[in-house]
Amino acid sequence: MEDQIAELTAQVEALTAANGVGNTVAAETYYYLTIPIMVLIHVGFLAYEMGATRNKNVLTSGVKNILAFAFMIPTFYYFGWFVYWAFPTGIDFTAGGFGISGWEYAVAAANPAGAVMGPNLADNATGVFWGAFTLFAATTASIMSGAVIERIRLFAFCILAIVLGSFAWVVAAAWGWHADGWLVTKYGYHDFGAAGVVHMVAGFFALGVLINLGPRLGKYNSDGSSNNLAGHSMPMTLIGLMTIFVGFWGFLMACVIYPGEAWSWSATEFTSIYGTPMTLSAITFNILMGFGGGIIGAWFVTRDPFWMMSGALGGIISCAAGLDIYWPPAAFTIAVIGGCIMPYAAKMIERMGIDDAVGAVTVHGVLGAWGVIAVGIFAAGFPAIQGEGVATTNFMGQLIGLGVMFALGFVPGYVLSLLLRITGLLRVGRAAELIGLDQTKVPSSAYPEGMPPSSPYNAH
Amino acid sequence: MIGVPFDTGTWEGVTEAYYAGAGGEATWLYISIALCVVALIGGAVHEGNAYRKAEYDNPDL
Repeated sequence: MEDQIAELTAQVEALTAANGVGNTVAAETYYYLTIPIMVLIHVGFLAYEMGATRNKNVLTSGVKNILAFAFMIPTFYYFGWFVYWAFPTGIDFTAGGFGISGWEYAVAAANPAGAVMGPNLADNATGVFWGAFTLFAATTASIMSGAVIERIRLFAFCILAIVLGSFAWVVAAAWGWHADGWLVTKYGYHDFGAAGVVHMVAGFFALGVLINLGPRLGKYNSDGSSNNLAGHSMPMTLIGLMTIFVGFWGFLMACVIYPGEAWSWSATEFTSIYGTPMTLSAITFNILMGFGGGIIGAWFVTRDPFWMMSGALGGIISCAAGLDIYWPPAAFTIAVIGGCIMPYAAKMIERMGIDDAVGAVTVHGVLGAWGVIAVGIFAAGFPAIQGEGVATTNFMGQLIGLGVMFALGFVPGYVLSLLLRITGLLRVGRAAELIGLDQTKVPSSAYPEGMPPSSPYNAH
Repeated sequence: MIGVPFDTGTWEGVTEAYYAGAGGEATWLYISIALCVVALIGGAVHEGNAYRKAEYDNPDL
């Protein structure tokens, strides 16, 4: 009898160990797979941005987009990941209530000169988490990239992209997308799918840059009216937008915490990044409802395929902050409203003399803000983090978060681009802009065997 | 288990960090940062020259 009990005990221990290994492998693979799916966001941005560019600047837009991604990787390794863990409680770098933040924790978890940031058989998580966050960072840079096409210097763009992707949005994430983040613990800020911490920050960073960069030559007439500088390939733009939607699945998948690991919030169920319970099924309902709602909303007011596909992204962004908790028809409605707002917001920005070539400020900034505030209106009262007596989601908390996200995007974007403008490093020369950036500096042509040239115009 | 040569002669007992890089982590970190800075400066010089040439070749624009 004792022998049988001992044998059964040994078998249970072996099965438990095997299950633990299986869970660890599954968790590591889960985050690993989010990364190539998120790469599709960048495939999409590449096509979207090049399609929205006139023939004479297509390759330059491609180079800019590729370099944004490339520089984000080492810089997020050097300091972006560290910032995320060091900043949650504020700029005093103290540890938060969950003990997963502060300067000392960041040194242990994200030191770029330490053993944790490399091949390590005792750590199946850091590399894949860092990779997923690096792709989030690259997404912020790509959001800004489309807005500034056809006249920004590549050097200036790279500097701006590094500051946005490896610092500005990371501070936002530390404050509002981390269980120790002060916006979360003090004000109940909730932003599951990063409507504020990614989309708003990137969209309003782009706005700050656009103010200093100025419009493309030929965009505005002397009487203040504007011209449509159509990109060379609407089909490429539409396919790009749809590809970004595919990549969003990886992005949102990576916003979820896998169960059963030492670093997990739960032994048995998926949670949000705040440790609140959720399922992949929940966000599946709402991602698709947001997608459909955004398209239909844009179709209501424009009948334009560009805005319809932008509405697809805008719809998801509109309900991103509450994707884990919305009732799907509510998510659909919030997305329809977002899709309807979008073209009018874009027109208003254009009338202010701001040449946002792809509507990035509108889709990501304005609809990100709508997404943040929508949680305060439609999803107030949920516990914001794991535990008893914690802050709950509420309108004022979302409003405060909205203000912080705007500032974290707009202020660094404006100030840094102003410095670059003062030093003459922000914008390409007039002759280069008129001739076309591909011929000037690539130097090559996107379609050497035939495409109609860009329409000539007289600059004013 | 950092650096080369890999002096144990076996993977048995290797359970933590094992990456290679003669000279230590900080050395490679600084080298890679320097490469990024050099690439950025090189890119800035290249495009600056290209824009100046465009202005010089097209004084009427």
